[in-house]
Amino acid sequence: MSSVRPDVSQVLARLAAGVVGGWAFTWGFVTLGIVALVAVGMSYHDAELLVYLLAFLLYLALLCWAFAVRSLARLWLTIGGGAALMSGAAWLAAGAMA
Amino acid sequence: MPDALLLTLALGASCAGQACLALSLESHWRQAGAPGRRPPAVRMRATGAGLLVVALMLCLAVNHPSIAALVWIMMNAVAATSVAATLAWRPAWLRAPGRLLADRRRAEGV
Amino acid sequence: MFATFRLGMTWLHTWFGLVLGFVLMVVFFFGALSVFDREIDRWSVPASRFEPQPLPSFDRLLAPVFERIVPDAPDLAAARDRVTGPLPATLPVMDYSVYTTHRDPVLQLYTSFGLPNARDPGDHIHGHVTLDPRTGAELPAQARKLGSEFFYPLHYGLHLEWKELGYWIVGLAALGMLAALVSGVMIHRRLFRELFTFRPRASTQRSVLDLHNLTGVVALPFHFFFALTGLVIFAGIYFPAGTTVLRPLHDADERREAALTGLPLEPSGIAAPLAPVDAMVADAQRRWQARGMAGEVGFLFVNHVGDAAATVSVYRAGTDRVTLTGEGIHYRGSTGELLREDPPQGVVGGINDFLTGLHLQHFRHWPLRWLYFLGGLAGCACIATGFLFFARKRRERHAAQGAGGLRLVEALSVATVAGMGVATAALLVANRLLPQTLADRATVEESVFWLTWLATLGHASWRASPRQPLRPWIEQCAALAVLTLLAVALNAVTTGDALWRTLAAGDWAVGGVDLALLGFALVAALVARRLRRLERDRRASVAGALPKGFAGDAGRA
Repeated sequence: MSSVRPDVSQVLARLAAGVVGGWAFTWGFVTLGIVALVAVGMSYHDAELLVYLLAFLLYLALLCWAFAVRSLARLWLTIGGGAALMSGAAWLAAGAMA
Repeated sequence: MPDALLLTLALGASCAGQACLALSLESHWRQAGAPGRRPPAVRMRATGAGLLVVALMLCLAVNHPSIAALVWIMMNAVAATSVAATLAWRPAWLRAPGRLLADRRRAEGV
Repeated sequence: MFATFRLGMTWLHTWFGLVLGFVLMVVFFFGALSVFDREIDRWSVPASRFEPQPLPSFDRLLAPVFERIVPDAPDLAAARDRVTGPLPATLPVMDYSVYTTHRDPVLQLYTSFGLPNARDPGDHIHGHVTLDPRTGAELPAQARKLGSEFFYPLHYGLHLEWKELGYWIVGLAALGMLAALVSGVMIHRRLFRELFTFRPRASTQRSVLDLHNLTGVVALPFHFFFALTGLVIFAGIYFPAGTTVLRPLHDADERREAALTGLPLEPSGIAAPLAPVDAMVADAQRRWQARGMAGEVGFLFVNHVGDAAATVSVYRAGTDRVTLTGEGIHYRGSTGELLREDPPQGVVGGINDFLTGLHLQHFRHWPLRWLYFLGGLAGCACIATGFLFFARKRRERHAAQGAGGLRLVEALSVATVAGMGVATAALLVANRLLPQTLADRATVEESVFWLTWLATLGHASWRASPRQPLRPWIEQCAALAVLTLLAVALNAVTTGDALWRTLAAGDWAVGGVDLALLGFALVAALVARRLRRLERDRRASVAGALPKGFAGDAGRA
């Protein structure tokens, strides 16, 4: 294993991005995904089931990516931006559909 | 045929198949003391895969496909562990299967 | 941050594995025990040691019991904070459910009670009772079913109910495990080439790593799918979309579904008695048979009890396939007329039922059940060998410094692996020794478990030393072997169901648990012996009596 110890702030930043940011991004995916599938005619229950199945695979990929990607800026931008955009879109769409 | 017998046969086929796959690797071929320096890898892997398919067929004969698939997957884990344990403690037990499937010309030539 | 992708994945694997490994060890071990939770129930509640029974008559046997059920005291106490006014003496009854499997001799009966003036309109609490279906007699509340009521909840929630914290910790651990599996595969360059490689006679580090790789790779699909399906099962807790942002959409769909199926969501407010349920059950069984799916009733649900809108839902005990099917058939409660036969699930529902069924294992297949158990133990072995490998590597590096952090990790490792086993065995011993009439017997039993576990941590910290790092392991493995044998002996003495008696009578539930306990004792004893030999050899080589690296390092490396 590498003898160079990665610095603590970088590790914490990636951990936060992967675990917390990853959760937020996946939340956006779940809400937007359900809304989108219901909009095209799937029942809410089926939409929820399908999206849940995919959600954890997505979360896993994000977590691994958080420790593989080189640029922290790119990491935060993608995860934070994605989470905000998807959650916002879902919230608006759900409001419109209700 | 009673289910217990079919499943036991399936386990046997799985073990035999995993053993062939293991023996297709040079390090294990030599560990078992099989004849020749290099194993007939393609033949071993084909035989191994074939035996694993036989194991799957036997599992399907006993249960609903969804259960049979799980039984087969878990059985393979047990079989692979058994083969690893055999190679670790009694590698000579695998010499006979190796000899059976060895390439005779190469074995004699080396 | 990391020079290469592989180094990044190595870091991820090491640290997620190490930190979350402690939680995963608990989840895997008690998950493995939960595969045989009903059998452990029978071992721990001798009054329930009889053959599984089909569901008895609802009208004659179950209905009188349901009418007597009261809310569980702890739930009632907790509910007082969730209502805005005082709670009436008797709470309104919402629904009845009764549940049995091909492995349960006893029946579980549950009643839901509504909470008037609750802040959340859907809020409710439960009361429950365990019944001997042959006689209708209730099993004493003190009789804690150690399998389904202790080990199983410990497996999925760590018994940490405050704000569902335990579920979140287990969920994070499951996610971490998926990451550890994926990163492990990525860093193990010669995965297929070394699949069968196990060198027990090589150096300890080599053989520990070989075993870690072997147990991780051969059961890789098992480990991956169990973590993933576990997360999917509790997805509603981690991503509660339907109760928050998407609640309007969710509720609209519920109303649409109720209109479609004819199963009312709300009671009508008009009282009406229940028609004979036994006739409905018999009809349901006839219908299953007609569809080529003859079977026993697994779950019976009466909604809106005492109301004109009451419905009775009968579900089949699914045993012959993985998928959690129910083949539910629904009747109008007041008349007994058929309302609906559930159609087969759609694609998405089918996939979900298959995956959850894979995890929850309601199927009847003893070989597969044992394979699941072994898979769970393989997961434990993978984590334990991971700890050992990490600790030894760090110990070599920090030998001169004697880092305190490493000591903590090592003490925690011993306590989590061996200590957990010691605590479990102590719990079983307490179960046999505590008097049946003791008040709060269940609480005392559980205290024995937690206190013993804490004690093993103390023992591990106290007995660890740089010169004898394996001493805590050896002593706890020995204690585990002794306590487990004691549990088996006590079962024979206190209940008369000695191993030869149970096996001769074909009672594989109790006999099987005793056999498994003997197996654990044997493994613990062998491990203790092997570790003692390793320690002796290491001390001898360090003392210079043998050339460095001789002990165990000879042979194939």
